[in-house]
Amino acid sequence: MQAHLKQTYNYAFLDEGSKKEIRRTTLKAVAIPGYQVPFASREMPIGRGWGTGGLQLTLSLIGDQDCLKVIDQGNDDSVNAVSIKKLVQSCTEAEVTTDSERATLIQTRHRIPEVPIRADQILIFQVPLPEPLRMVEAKERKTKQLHAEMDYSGIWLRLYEDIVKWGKISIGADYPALAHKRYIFAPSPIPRYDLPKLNRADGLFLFGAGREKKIYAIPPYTDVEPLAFDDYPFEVEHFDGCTCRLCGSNDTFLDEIFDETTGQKFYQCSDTGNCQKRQEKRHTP
Amino acid sequence: MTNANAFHHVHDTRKLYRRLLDSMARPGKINDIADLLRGVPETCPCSPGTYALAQTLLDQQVSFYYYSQELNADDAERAIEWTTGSRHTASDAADYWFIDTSPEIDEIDSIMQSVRIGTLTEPEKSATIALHVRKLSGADDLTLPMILRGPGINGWHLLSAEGMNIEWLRLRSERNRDYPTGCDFVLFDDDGQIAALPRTTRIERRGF
Amino acid sequence: MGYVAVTGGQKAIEAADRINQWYRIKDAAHSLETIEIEKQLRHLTDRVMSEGGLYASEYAALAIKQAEGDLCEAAFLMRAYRSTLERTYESEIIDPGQMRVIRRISSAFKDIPGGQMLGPTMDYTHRLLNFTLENEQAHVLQELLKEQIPEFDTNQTLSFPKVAGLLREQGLLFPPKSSGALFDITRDKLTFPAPRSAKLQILARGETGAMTALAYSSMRGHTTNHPTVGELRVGYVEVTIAYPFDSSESLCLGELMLTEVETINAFERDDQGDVKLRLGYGLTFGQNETKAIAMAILEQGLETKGETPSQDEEFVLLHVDSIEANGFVSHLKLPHYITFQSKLDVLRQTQKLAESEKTETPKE
Repeated sequence: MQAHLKQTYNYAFLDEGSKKEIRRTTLKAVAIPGYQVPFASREMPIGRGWGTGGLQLTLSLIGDQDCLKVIDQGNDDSVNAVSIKKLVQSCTEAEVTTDSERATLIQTRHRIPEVPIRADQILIFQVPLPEPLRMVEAKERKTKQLHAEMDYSGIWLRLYEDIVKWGKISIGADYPALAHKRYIFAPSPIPRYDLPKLNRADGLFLFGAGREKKIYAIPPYTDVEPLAFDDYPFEVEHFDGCTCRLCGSNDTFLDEIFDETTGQKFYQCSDTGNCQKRQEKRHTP
Repeated sequence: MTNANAFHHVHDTRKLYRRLLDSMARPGKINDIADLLRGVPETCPCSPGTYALAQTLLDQQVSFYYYSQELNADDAERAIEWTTGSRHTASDAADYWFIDTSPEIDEIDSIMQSVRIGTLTEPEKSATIALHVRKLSGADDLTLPMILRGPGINGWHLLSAEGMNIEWLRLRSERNRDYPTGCDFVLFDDDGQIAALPRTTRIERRGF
Repeated sequence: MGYVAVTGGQKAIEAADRINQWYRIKDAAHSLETIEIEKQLRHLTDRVMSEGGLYASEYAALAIKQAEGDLCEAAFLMRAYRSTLERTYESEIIDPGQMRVIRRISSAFKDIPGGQMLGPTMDYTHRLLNFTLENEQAHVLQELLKEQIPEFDTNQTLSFPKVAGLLREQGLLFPPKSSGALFDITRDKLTFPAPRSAKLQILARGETGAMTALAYSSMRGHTTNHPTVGELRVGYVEVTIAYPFDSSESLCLGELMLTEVETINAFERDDQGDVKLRLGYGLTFGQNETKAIAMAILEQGLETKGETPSQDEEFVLLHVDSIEANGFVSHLKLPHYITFQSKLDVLRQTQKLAESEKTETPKE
């Protein structure tokens, strides 16, 4: 049953005061790349931890002229992505799309689309844990101090210990990186494969952590360097020789899938919108 | 009766914000907000640019400081307070500055000395200065040409301004010396063009 | 297929919505009236208002109906609704000393000015299932109770002096710590050390179970914190704002039901060398007595230094919110296969390294 938001609720759900606060915070975030700017963070009609930070950013930006794409794990049709799109549609007249090249705003959880973000687009990340130093320090008060003093020895030591123990850095997704040679930031749980796309890009990247109440940003053409050692360089995920069984691509991020009946392992594009377009291209002579 | 062309507190503030965000993310990039300024009431005692930026950025949660020599500053303060709910405050406490006419050099100095720049732990507790200039241009054709570099800029970017004292740049670089502390500038001109200079932007005077 | 994101997401959500509605209503003889929830499930309504941070009993009842009795979900509905409301006024300070009291007890003194007043409580009712409720005739019971309960003049305001006031007059209590400028946790992100007003606000809308558990830990094992309830009062207070056109006058917006608890803690010596008792403070919307006591205990715990969990302000304040805790724990239901894929990749690379190390090591 769909609640009639249009009559009962504000344009873009939030009251204007809330939007202004998010906007002021976002402008500050853009002026200090990678720094987590605190904001009040309203409770949204979706769960805390289910994309409320990204959603608040989207709602502070969106107008009827916008075209919105929402993905979860790269997938437009994932239920949470659909749910977020549905909410935005219920309180705005904005159009929605699965085509990342048509979108003006893209809200994402855990992926960056394969086609690079353009200057006229904004990519909005849902962030569960915005503090990259949390893995070495539990207290917010202390991590804030560490950032202030640019004291990043703890996290470097953690990476070094990883190498001693495992022979390589064991961080999978959400790989920490340095923004504008000043702040270490969490890129949200995108795969390492996506991290280099943040470096000196054409588009603007906004990060919203609703439960942890932080907004941060990577402006265009900003240095983003994954933490690594000279002799242990940063590595992205390996898909050596694997191809997508739907579009045949061998240069995209792939999901590993098991066939229920045969137990056979195969691969499929994680970016479903892009995969769809490639399939269409393959089938048009 | 409401005027359909009046500045809309939901849609026009959002449109202005999007252009401001674009300018902030791409320092020196000029965005045009002239279409939005047409809705500003003619009786408004401050400039349309100040009015529109104030409606977009201010509410009860933040404070502002208004500076003008020519216009009636008290009326403008009052109008901004009434329409936004924001409080006019002492200059060294203000979150947002609106500088509607160009001050003398010693006044620029006192403004820049009292502007909040945040702290190392809380660099966001800094002021944003909205500075009214006569004209902005992306070409090398006005009295104050600037070469910009830094985040948001692919290599370098040219911005020039008319009616902006060079003293602003000198004092800005002085206050913004210890990144991440510093203040951010929003420039707006008589024709409804805006550009931004966040604290990360390094400015060279052309011909230095 | 194995663990693949649901395709046909839109259809799936709509179907889930419909099935959910079906389960809600399929065995119903009549649809539950929200007024029945509001008037007959008082404690549930109070708890939802308290954790939702919105004093609106009709909406709380609606939220409970919509959430099919899921308390956290109902509180969450209230919070999300609250997000859409402008904050236009700040109320004037409420003095619970002026409360129109319906219940008021003190465990510190046998006799208190005004006397103990048990009021509505289940504290001394035996926990035996009352099977007569199965076939209750509301109007019969109403008539019966009307005769049995002594009629009191509702126009007469029952207000009592505060027990803490007596202690303060005798110089036994430290004055309350100043809250400083009012911090609004719905408008500003909390930073640490948290201002006192922010701590109290977070606790006031904290999750009852979480707060009770933490307060229990503080009393039971981790500290010797066994406070005495100086006073617990439940009743109605007026909410006023300064009259917009003349701030010397007040405008009454209505009444709130509150539970207020003041606990008396250990005595201590302050910087001036004075030895006095410390007071703990709890205040909640509605009749939420255990939560109010837990709040007073936690609030006092945060004012003292020590290594126990309940004295750690980040630990307490960041984990007692129902909406945040529920949201993050339940988000694990969302797919995580990108992060998992990334982890698998690191694991496989590490396995390769480990294998090559094994073969390199000469066998004895």
